[in-house]
Order: sequence, then C-alpha cells, then structure tokens
Amino acid sequence: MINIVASPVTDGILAVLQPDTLIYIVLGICIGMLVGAFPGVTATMAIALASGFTLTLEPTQGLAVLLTIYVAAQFGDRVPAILLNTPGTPSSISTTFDGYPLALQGKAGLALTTSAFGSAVGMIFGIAILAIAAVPLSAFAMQFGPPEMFALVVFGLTMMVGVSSGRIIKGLAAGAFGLVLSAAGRDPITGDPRFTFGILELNGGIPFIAVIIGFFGVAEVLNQIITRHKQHHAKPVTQMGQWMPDARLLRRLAKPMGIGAVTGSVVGLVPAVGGDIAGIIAWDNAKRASKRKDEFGKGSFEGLTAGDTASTATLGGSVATTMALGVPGDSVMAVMIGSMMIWGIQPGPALFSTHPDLISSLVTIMLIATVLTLVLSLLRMRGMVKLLELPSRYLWVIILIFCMVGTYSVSNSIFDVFTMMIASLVGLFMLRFGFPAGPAVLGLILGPLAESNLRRALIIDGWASIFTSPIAVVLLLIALGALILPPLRGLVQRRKNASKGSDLPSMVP
Amino acid sequence: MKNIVRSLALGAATVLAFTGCASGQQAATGDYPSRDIRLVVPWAAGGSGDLTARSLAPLLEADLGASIIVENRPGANGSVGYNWLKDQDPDGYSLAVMGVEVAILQFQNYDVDPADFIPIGQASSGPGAIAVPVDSPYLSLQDLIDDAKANPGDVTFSSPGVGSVWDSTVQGFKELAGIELKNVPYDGSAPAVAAAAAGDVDFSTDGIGNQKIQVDAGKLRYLAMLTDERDPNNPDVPTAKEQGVDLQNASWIGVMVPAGTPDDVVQKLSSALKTAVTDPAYIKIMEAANQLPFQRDSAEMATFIDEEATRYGPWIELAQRD
Repeated sequence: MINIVASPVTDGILAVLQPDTLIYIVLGICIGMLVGAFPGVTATMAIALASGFTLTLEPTQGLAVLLTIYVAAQFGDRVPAILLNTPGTPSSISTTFDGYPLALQGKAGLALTTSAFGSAVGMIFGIAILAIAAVPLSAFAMQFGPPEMFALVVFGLTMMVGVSSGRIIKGLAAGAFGLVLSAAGRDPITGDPRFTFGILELNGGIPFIAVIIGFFGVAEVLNQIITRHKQHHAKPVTQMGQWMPDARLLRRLAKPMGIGAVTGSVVGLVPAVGGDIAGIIAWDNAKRASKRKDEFGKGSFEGLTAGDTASTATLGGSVATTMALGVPGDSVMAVMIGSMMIWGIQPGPALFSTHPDLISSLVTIMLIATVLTLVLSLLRMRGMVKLLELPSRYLWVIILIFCMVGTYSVSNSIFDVFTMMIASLVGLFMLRFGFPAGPAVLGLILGPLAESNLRRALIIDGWASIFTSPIAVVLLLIALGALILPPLRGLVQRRKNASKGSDLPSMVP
Repeated sequence: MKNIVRSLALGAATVLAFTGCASGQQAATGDYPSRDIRLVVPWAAGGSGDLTARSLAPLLEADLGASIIVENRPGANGSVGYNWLKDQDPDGYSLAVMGVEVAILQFQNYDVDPADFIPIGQASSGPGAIAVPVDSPYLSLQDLIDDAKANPGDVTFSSPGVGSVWDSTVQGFKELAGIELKNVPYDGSAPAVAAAAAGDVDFSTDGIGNQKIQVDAGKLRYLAMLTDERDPNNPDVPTAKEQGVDLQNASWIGVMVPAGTPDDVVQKLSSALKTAVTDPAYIKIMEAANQLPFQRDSAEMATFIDEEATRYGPWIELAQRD
C-alpha cells in the first residue's frame, strides 16, 4: 500500500472509496435512473423521500445516496424526452426540441447515446468547476440580488424567439399565453389572490410540471391517435439505425458541448435557477453559433447536445452555491440542505473551513456516479428502446397511464391531473395549429421569477437599483441584442444581396 | 430454484402469521388504532415541517402500534392539506401536521377555520430573531429604530413571504416601536435570510435557526432575540424586550385531527405525541435542524391557537393596509 500523505483532500476521497459507500452509490444510481425516466417524478421528490431513510446513515454514505440520485436522474429523464416527447423531469425540456424529431427520423439510438455523452461531459465540467473554484465562484453568485435575477430572467425570456423555430409570431403568442398562465395564484408581494376563481389549488399558481407533461407528452399522444391513419409513411421509431456517434459527428458536437458546459455552469451558480432554464438558454446559444441553424428544432444533434450538456453542467454550480452560501442552488439542493443539517453539516460560507474534506468527497461521489451512470445508460438503452416495438395502441395507453400517475404523485393531487388533461388539450390545439410549446413553458416558468424579482428590486431602490447594477445592465443589454440583432442581420444580408443584384434568397414562403 | 421459492413462501407465511398476531393483540387491548393512520404534511417534501412529521412517525408508530403513513399534500400555503383534513372522517385515522397558518389563514381570504380541527399537541418551536448584515451600522435595536424614525419607510427588511410568521412579526415590531419599514418578501426563509446576508436589505426577521447559517459564517449578526429569556446558545445577544420592545414570536409545528374526533382518541394521540416529542432520538434530530423540541398537549394547544389568532389578526390587518 502506498503511503498517501494525509490531507483533507485525500481523506475526503478515501471516505468515498469504502466498499459500503460504493454500494450506496450504486443504489442511488438505480433509484435515480428509474425516477428520471418516470415523467412527473422529479429528482427533488425522490431525494425528499429517500432522505427519510438516509438520516440514520453516516453522512458520507447518505450524501452518496442523495447525490447519485440527483446525478442519475439527469440521465434517466432524457429517455422519455427523446422517445416519447415527454420530459422525465423539467431539466430535459430542451431535450424534446431535437431529441424527439431525431427519434421520428429513425435516429433514436444515436440521439440517446449522444445525449448521454453530452450529459456526462456537462456533469464532469460542472464537477470540475465545483472542485476548483467553488469558493470564489460562490462569491459571484452572492452578487445576484433581485435586480440581477430580474435581468437574467429577462434574458431567459428572450429565448422565446429562439425556441419558436422560425414561427416568431406564433411563438410569441404562445409565450404570452405562458406568461398569462403564470400570473395565476397569490401575488408574490401583496399576497392578494389573482385569477384563482375561488379554486383553492390555484392559490399556489398553475402547477407547471403538470402543464409540461400535458403540453409535451399527452398532447403528442393525442395527436398521434388523431393522425394514426396518416402516419404509416413515417419511419417507425424502432428502426434505430446507427448507435454510436462516429468521429465526424463527435467533432461537430465539440462546439455545442462547450457552449452548453459554459452556459450551464454559469446558470447553475445562480441560486434558484436550474437545469430547465440552462438547457433552453444553451440550446438557443448553440443555435446562434451553429452553421446549420435550420436543423435546430427539426432534429439537430448539436441542439440536443448543447441542451443536455448545459442542464447537467448546472449540477456542479448548484452544489457549489448551496455548500458555499447555504442558499439552495435549486429545489433538489433545498431538500438536501435539510438532510445535511441533521448530519451536523451546516452548508454555508463556514463549511469549507469546518469540513475541508467534504468538498473532495462530494466531487468523488459525483464523478463515480457520472461514470457509472454513463456506462449503465449505454448498456441498457437497447432494452429501453424495446418498449417502442409494442403496437402503438398499447404504447399510447402506457404513456397516458405513466403521465397520469406521475402527475398525481407530484403532490398527491387530483387537481394536478385535471390541469394536465386540460393542458394536453391546449397542447394538442397548439400542435395542430403550429404554435410551439417551448415559449409557453418558458413563460410559465420564468414569469413568476421575473415578476417577483422586478418588484423586489423596485421596493428596495426603485428603477435605480436595476440601472446601477453592472451585472443587471450587461445582462439587459445582451437580452436587447438577442432580440434586435437577428432581424438586423437579416436586413443587412438582404441589402447586400440586393446591391449585388442577386435575387432575394428564396427562404420560407 | 425450488428451494428458493419454498423458503420465500415460508418467509412470507411467517411474516403474515406475525402481523396477524400483532393485529389480534391490538383488537384485544382496545379498538383504536386497528388500522393504518395517515399523517398528512400540508407542505412539499423536504422542509422542516416535513422533517418533523417523518421524524415523529416511527415514534408514534411504536407507541400506538399502528403504521403511520406520511403523505405530502402541499399547496396554497398549506390550505390544500388543511381542507383535505377537514373533509376526512373524524375517527382518528386521518391526522395532519399544522403550523401557525391554521390560526392565521382566516385573515387572508383563505377558507381555513381553526374551529374545524382539534389540536393533538405541539411538536416543535422555532423562536425568532432580528439579524443585520455583519457590517451594518446598527449595533443595537435602538439604532435601527432611530434610523427608521429619521428616514421613515427607507429601512428595508426581508421576510419569507407575505402573511408569513416573520412578516407578521415585523408588523408587530412596527406597531410597538412606532416606525415605518419596507417589506421585501422572498420565496421562503433561505433566500430571505441570504438577501440580508448579501446586504440587499437592511435586516432579516426569521427563525434563530434559519439565520444561524449566515451568522456562523460571519455574514449576519444577531441584533435582538424575539424570546422571553436570552437564547442559551447566544448568551451575548440581548432580547428585544431588554432593548425596550416587548416583542416575542416563534414559528411552531403541531399535529391535529378533524373536529368531531372522539375525546378518548384525541387523548390517546396526545399522549403518544408527548412520548414522541420527549424521545431523545427526536430531540436530537430537531436540535440538529436548529429547531426547538417543544411539547404542549391537546388542551394547552387549543388555548394557544386561540391566543395566536388574537395576536396575529391585528398584525395581518396592518400588513394589508400597507
């Protein structure tokens, strides 16, 4: 045995490499992948339930279970997003944009593998950031008060244009619809009921997981049922084609992976913003930077990879913010803080001086979990896809039951199930008439964040609080650029073509 | 293979036999409880209320001899869970965890009336404090009051939400000190306390335990404890009362059943809860989570909830007038 110099770093790593801890990691992976693949059952919920059982474990073992569930769920939730157009958890909303079109083109196998690789790259990038720069970066996160949060969310809202995939007017209409939905519930500042129509459950706002499942999953099933007679010419999803990406594809994916990893890490550091938003922002960033913009939303491996890399890259940032600030980086970490306090680990700025070994334990757990989950994902994918060989009428029933049970289990509420069913009809309407669902979901998620942070900023120091914050100003300028640059560039392009004497490019009719 | 099947069957039969014996015994000693009990948590999984319920459940199980199934029914400030409980049969098989909202939601256009429930008892308490950023110019509560008097409405505080325990507490503070303050409500305690630690607002009023993270980290400083006596863990911090503002408040968590539940069932549950709350295992978990294990029985709790309603009513009216 090599004599390793005892240091907090090696102590932390060795604490994880105990056989019993490794068993707990494998247990966490199994739970996490199952949970992720089940629409409606989020990682937050699984971890909250598991924390009841982990309280009696040693802190390292307990953390191993909870963190690996968190990590593995990020891989599991891609599967229904790609195969069924239903995000397993909100983190894989952006996966549906390109993953499902790819599956329809008979490239489901390749989509699943590239998605898993992208997720693993994002995860490892986020973990590296956690390991190297957790403390200084969390100081950056501390800078995000209400004005900065508002500006970030406004930037996120400009993504509506990007995720409209060319149908700008219809996309913005859908986005506005999402924003209107998000206004229901209690006013975040005064507490007055708004658009609750005397319905008790609406006091908490429209449950967005139910809406996501309705918009994406059930609406798609309903659409398939309606159009079943016309669908015969389409390639069956079961024709998997190629499984492993070749070197050329991998080279092409390097850029979106980089964009996704950076976007995800930055977004992850900001408290209370998670993988769902990071995935959408990175998808849009990658689209801007891509040479094949027109593929995005219709089955682009670049778009799929960017979104998936970003949403997993948020994990490192979320964990860093949580541990270093004591402020939950996302809803999963909010639950985990509770468990950690029971183990006598108090997340917060003092953590890194009182438990210097903890950070290397966390990093080791997450790395092992990522690698094992990637291997497992690649191994079991062929089995998962077998499900799709069922005749579609059985598949529809299975998906519908999954969606209903999943929705109910979010908060044991039949109201959520009805919301989901109404959302699915609305989603079907949107699908049939060409309104993209992405902007609507973006509006629903970001609307309350934009409103409450703007109003907080205004209470604190009026509009001055926004315009005196450099971060907020820069973010708002970027948002403005994101809105006006693409049309401007189009204009310049047309002028150039006109002066050359060439015909206007024959674009979309 | 055959052997495995046989031993599995044997095992299952043994388990069945044992459970059969157990339920038979219960039937002999008394008819309640003779089946599973549901304990509903009106908040999402993961918070301190959820933690309290999940820590109490095994202890109540041991005392009552029936399985306790913990179930989350979150939504609308807990009123979804409370309204669910109101509609259950008052037979002692449906319980809910409660917080101070039971007493005060009635003042905020919610259909939640404490008279629809019978309290079983209290399980924990989370006394509050006023804390300021560590570099704040306020060195005492009087400094804060003086500044607020000199600049009415310019001093800001963060609260975990409108109409929450800590928002209402500050309304009481405003009334007692005769000052104007600006409320910046956040979405829960963690972001509200962090906002004060980052200096976004001038002070935070929240549970001592919720502020502890940032105080230990040297980002926040306790200005006054909202307790009767000084907090034994922070003996150097004076109470608000010592500094001339007679303000005490604490969040709390208890258990209740629907109105109409027979008295002997209520008493049985109340004594089981008392045993659980005084159990060292429970005390240890609560203290680690910065909560104070605190016990009140059914009758004491009923009086206490009435007092809370009388206390909070005017505070919430004051907040609504702002």
